[in-house]
Amino acid sequence: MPHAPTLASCALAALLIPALRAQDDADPPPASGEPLVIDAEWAAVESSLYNLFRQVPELKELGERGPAVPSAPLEPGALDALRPPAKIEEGEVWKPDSAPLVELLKRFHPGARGRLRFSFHNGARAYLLERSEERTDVLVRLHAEFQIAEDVWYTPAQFEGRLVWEDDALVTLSLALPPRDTNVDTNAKLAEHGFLAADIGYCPRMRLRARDAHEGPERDLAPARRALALAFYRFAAIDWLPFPDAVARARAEKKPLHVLLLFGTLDDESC
Amino acid sequence: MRAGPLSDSAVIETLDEGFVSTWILAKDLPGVAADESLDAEVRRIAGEVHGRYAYPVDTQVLAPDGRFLGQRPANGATGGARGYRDFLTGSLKDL
Repeated sequence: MPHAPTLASCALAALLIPALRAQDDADPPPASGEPLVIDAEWAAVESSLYNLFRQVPELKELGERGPAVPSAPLEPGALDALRPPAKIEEGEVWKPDSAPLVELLKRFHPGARGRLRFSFHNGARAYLLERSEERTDVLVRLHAEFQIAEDVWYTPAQFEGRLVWEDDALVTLSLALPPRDTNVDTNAKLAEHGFLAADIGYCPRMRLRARDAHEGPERDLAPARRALALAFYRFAAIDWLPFPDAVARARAEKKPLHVLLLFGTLDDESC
Repeated sequence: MRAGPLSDSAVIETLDEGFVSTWILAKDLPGVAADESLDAEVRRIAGEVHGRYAYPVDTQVLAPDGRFLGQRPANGATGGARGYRDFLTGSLKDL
């Protein structure tokens, strides 16, 4: 039977509530659980405008050799820096330390770098999909590149990652180059010419994935992807339409058409 | 373009208020021009835009009916964000 709170119980609550709130505001504890085994896949670039990915020996070798570390365990706390701070709420973006993800990229090639040479849209941004007592679900976008040799660079468009912690254990991890044509840029000094040549191509598969991991919950990731793009690029706020739709809308709304023609994709780092 | 004109608030506002915007890989335009499932006007405009394309990054402004109004290849372009905004508004004088 319910009863009115006594003075003593109120006083106890007054003592306890700040303590609980302080705990709520604290950043999450270190991750626990078993190491995940991470498998890496890295396919050769299938097509490119100037065929540099097949002409330059170091790039050709990448395609033939695949990832430097095809499979290895990941310690439970290795990606704790990607866990959202307590103040972050669902639907919010924050800027985590990208270093642990760049370290993970060294499984493809030891030349992974977190700072792009020709762009200031560096590092990682993360979006909190869900935080409950049982689960923390995060979508992350990372910009990074690889120095393959002294004058050979391989720059993926972006990496998209999904990280899920359940009961403080990392249970799902994926980090992949979206398979959009085009999605990789390269700069390489050509021995016979001595200048730095550029090319852009399509890599169908470049991903890290936890073996036997739980599947993350099915979600519509479009709002999170848009928020992450906007966190890197102010122009992502513009209502860009596919070419046929833009022509139709310009005609319907009697507005001029602004057409941007590109050699590589606008809203990533592949060009 | 990413770090220059398209990161400028005034350019973004000009585009949002006065234009319909699209970006496309130049290599994809011939496919649009040849796609018989698309509207004939879309195909015609795609072919014309591709014919004028200046490698590697180019901007074209068209009237609502697809008539060509202006072009600004990124190579050699000057004036930064202000120059881009002047190009956009200047292209509309023949509208």
